[in-house]
Amino acid sequence: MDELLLSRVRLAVIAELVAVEWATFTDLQRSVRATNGNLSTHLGKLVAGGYVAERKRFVRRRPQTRYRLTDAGRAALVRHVESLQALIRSQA
Amino acid sequence: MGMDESAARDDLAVVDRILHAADRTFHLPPLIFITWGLYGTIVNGVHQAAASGFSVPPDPAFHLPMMLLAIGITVWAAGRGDAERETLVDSHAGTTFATAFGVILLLNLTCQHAVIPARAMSLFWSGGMSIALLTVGFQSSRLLLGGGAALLAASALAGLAPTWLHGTLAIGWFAGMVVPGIVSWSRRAHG
Repeated sequence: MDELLLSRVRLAVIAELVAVEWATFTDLQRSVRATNGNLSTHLGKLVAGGYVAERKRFVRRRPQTRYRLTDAGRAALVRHVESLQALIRSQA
Repeated sequence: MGMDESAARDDLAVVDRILHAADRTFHLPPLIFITWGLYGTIVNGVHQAAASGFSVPPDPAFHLPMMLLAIGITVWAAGRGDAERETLVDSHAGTTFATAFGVILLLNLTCQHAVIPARAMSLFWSGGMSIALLTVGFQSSRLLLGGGAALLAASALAGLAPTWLHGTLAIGWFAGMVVPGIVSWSRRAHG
């Protein structure tokens, strides 16, 4: 089982990013309903783990950070879901 | 492993819920549709005016500057995008429109006059863009689906009255791209 995805917030972030090309910090915060600091910490771990790519830019003179799922992140989610399903089957 | 069956089920439910509620809407800037719709409307309108005996500038005098202006506005609008996310539908739509535009432009530059008559080229443009609108519309937007149907209908009807071919296409471009662009813009402005 993927240690990074054992956190519910990180799992939710990865699942959100599966369905989009990219999403901003604000959008993810709204989607996973996490506080600013909490989400920032979790995203930092996902970026450090290579599961999420981060890109900063300015939109109308305001800083905007966009996040995109990497191939490694997509593969990790698939493996993690398979592990969860295996765990359920083994204990059923 | 540090996880029991109940927690595993909850985690799977989280993933399942998020994937099922995934945003499949369309966020390309309406200004791009309005710009290209106006481009098609004006170009065909001028051709219709010429066919009706009015004095109009020759093609290259207004085609190229207008196309460069439209490309500039498209690049500016896309880069200025303040969307919070780009969905997979947005990505596919961008690819569809860029491919349709690129293919028709290439044919326009290489084949018009030598192989394809100017009037047929106008139909290539409207037919090609209606395919792109219908493709994206079927996937994600009734508005664009309606626009694609309008442009396709105009393209089909244009052949029935050849003397009004460009006028019919001009109406098709306006109804097919400008109107959906304005409606989309209005919807965004009103939340």
